[in-house]
Amino acid sequence: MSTIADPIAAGLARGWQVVDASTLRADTHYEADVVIIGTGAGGGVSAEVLSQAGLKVLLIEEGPLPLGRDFRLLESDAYPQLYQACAARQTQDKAITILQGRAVGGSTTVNWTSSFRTPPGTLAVWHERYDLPLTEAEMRPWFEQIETRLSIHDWPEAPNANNAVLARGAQQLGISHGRIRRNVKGCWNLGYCGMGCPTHAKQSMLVTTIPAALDAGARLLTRCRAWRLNLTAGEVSGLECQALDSAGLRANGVRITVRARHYVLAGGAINTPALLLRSRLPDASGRLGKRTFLHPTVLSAALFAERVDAWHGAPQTVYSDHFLHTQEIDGPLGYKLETPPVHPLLASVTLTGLGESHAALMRQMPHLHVMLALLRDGFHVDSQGGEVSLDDDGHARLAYSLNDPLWEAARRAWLSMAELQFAAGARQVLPIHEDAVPYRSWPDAREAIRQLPLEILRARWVSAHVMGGAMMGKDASRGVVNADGACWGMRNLSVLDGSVFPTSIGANPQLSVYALALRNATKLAQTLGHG
Amino acid sequence: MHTAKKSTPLLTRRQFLRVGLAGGAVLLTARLVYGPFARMRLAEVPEAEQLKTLNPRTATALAAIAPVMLGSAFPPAEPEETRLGAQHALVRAIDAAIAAMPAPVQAEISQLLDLLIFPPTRRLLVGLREEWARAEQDDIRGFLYRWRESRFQLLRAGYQGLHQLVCAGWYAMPASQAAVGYPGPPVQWKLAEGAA
Repeated sequence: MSTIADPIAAGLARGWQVVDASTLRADTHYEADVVIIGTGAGGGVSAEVLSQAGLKVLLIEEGPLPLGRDFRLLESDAYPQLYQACAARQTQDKAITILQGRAVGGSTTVNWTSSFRTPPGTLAVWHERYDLPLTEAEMRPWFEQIETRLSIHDWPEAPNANNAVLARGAQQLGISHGRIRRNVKGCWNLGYCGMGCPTHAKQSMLVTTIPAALDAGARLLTRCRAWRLNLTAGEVSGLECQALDSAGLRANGVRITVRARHYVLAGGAINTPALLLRSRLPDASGRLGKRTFLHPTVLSAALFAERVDAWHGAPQTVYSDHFLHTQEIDGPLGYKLETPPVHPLLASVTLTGLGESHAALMRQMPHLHVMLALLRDGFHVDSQGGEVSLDDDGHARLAYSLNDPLWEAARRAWLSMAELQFAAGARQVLPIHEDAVPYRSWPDAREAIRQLPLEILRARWVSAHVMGGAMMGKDASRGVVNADGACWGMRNLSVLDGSVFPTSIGANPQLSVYALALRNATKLAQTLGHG
Repeated sequence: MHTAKKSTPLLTRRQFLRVGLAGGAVLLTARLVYGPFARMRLAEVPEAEQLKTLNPRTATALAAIAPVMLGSAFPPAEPEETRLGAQHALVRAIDAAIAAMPAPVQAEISQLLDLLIFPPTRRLLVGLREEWARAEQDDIRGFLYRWRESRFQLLRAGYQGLHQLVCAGWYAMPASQAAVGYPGPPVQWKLAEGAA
């Protein structure tokens, strides 16, 4: 018997209105004041605000509603159940692998809890270059409110050995570094955040805002894919959805239609632009589906004499922003250093090489440390991001060209990481690139990294942060939505997720999504309350 | 359907399934390597034993690639039954992983696997004159390195796809995870769940 209370099971027992669309046998129609598409960071926060304002809210989610007992802490369970494309979503050219959630709570259900406010430099660019009113002063109260709501606070425990490498290396080299705040309450420090929090300590949307919305009478449809908005003369007149099969993969033929006063899109920065493209939203600015940012990420592994056990303990607790500040924000790309947790399935597909070299690396997993560098894309004049488009069947796809400014930054990032890892005492360092081998000294690594060919599908690129594609703009010619998330030219359509960011964030984006969604959902609730 | 499926397969789907049923891992993969079986009606094969996305020929190719891709993480060629059992388990794991992918991704994987087994592309792109079941390890290694280092993006993407499928399939298994020193779900949680 479990000793861990399950807030989802308890809520269902007290009468939450949740329907698994895969169980519907006939076409079904719903009506609501507000329909919210997507239940991640943006949708979750919006659902709580709007339902507590007394509005009748309907939530649409493509993924399942996981119960506590579904979190078995096995990679083989978690990736197919909780992630887009089994944690292997990729750009069209397969160069970048994207981790993105697909369950109630979206990516917040499986993220690593890192909580950063939108950096002041990013907000300044939004203000100066894009004329958006989202200054530090404007955003501060929203950050404060959501930080309280989600228990975002300094993490009191010592970093695990994997994160301690970053702190030690930075210390040795005199590079600034800090501790990451986390959205947790009563965290057991297990290290399995990426497989869904089994103790419900992570204050994801799954255990905070969504339960609050359901308690306030919101309804939730799971395994339901929003397919198309019907647009007529400046307003949305309805939403068409597909019920999925019980595996959550394919449309099962049952259609679901929704009619609401207002439509909120929060499916994330790939699915939201795709839904707008399928709906043929007039695109006066030419920005729909454009400027998709990923924080393209390169990695460096290192072997230590002592055990690292990088699967154990809070996965991300130390960061360094040193290399975000060594040049101008719109100059050569800066990068944020962090560490990922290391679990065998994801490690095995991420580590390069084959045969004996791969097996040898895997066998040393307890001694393996991994560091990552998130590139701040979207500020440099030649960093315009990627593009979401539709395939012949209407499914979303993402093209992202890794051009020279990104490659130049990648090489600097491999160098920085190797130097830090050796400074922290690494015996060997391996940039994650097919042409690299484990190097035994910093001079060897430096020399080799300078020679690495800068080509896709040789260097490993990953991303866990998808942003943009429906950017905010001061007027209809400069963006898809305004700073409140209201879609230009549409009376009753808002985008309240990370799609609206005009650049990348330059930090893990969950808190940026929360705070902006909180601000804009609060404004929307006021508007609709007077409607 | 793809033209590759029209040429004579090494094993039919039924034959492949039958062995899995009748003889378990050993017989199954032995036949994968050494040749065809007598036919059996698909209706007699329980659903749980049926492969969802792979066919006998793509399964054979993946089973042949696995020992080369995974190196000493994979059981050695002797004793044969251990090696064959591992190939069987891996093929099933890969099949399950592909089946959980969205339709567009499944279609791409199936194109990649068809490229491996369609005789003209197998000879020209993979460089194998013989069927996968009779391919030498050195030839498979040569193929993997050629694709990995190819100047053509498409082939490098193909190699990376195979790397992902084989590694994800293998390191998803509890035994493979234990073999690299990974303890699995933490003890505190297991105790709280009453599972330990």
